[in-house]
Amino acid sequence: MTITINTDAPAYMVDGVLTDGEAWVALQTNVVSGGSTAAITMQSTTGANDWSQYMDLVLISYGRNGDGSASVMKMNLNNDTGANYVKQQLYGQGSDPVLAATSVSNTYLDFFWYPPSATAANVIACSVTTLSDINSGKYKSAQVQIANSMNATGYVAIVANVWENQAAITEIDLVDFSGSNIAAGSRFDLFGVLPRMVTA
Amino acid sequence: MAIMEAIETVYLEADVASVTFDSISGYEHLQLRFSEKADGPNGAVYMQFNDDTGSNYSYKQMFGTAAAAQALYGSVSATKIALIGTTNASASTIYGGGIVDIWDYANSNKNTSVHCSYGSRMDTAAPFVVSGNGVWDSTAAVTKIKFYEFNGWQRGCSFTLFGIKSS
Repeated sequence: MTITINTDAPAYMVDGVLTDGEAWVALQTNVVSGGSTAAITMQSTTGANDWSQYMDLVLISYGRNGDGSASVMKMNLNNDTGANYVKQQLYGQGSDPVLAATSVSNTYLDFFWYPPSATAANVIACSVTTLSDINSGKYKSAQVQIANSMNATGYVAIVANVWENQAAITEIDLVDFSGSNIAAGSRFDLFGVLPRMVTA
Repeated sequence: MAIMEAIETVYLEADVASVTFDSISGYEHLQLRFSEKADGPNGAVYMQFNDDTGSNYSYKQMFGTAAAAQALYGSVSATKIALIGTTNASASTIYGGGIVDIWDYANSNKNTSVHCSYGSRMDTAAPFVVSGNGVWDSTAAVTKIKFYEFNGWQRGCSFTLFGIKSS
């Protein structure tokens, strides 16, 4: 596993003065290398990687199952594996009509559908997950876009999730649905999105 | 030079009818990221440009709620671009999160197109997810964006408009 974490001083502080610079900040990159891995853990730490300064988080996921048959990865926030997640999804497969599905009291946030290990080599899926207003006292809302073609037998999906918890998000854990490993070459890039820092 | 800048952030400390952005020049594209809830029982997110209240908008949204099959909803010759929104029937802690992209908004040779994605719980039982698009049938450069809810916005909503520059 190759992990890069950006703990530099926030770029919006210039000589002690608050400024508005680049709104998207690269926080962490996790690349599975040297063999598959069971879990990805991302935590708020210091400097630019202190998540308390961001409005939203955006996670870009790119990968596949390393040694199992599951086609879903799970996300848990702040180590909460209780039945506190709700989702609504729309998805399409082949030429079938687009389908909707919903479920409440889930134990994870649904953020990534990816190819099982038996899928043809080099077939990778991707998703973009936005976690909104992560430091507010609201329940946390997430919007997900998934592209998992699986070499023409896969899915395209949009998913809305709510984590029924008012805590600020400080940790994200990613694991395979059935406990398999995430394939080498998979990567997960986390970005922070800043609000306007200076009053116009 | 920053490629993506936060132009303005609005946090609502009280209920309001609408939020307007009118200092938006100097970028290639715009992106609005929001966390919202209606101040009433009807959740509907609306958008207008340049104070145009005429029948000059069209939109289409694909949405899903509960276990029902996906549905399409839209309108032509509408007076605004619309999305489903979160209502005050939901728990007090539930706000929906969404993103609206406004492409090439300063180009005076094209109508303005937007793409929207949004999701939340409509009430305590029904989550929903939406992907939609909209067109303002005008070639004028967008200089002002009005963002409003059918029932007005509830305290606690937040809106940030970003400008995206080209290389």
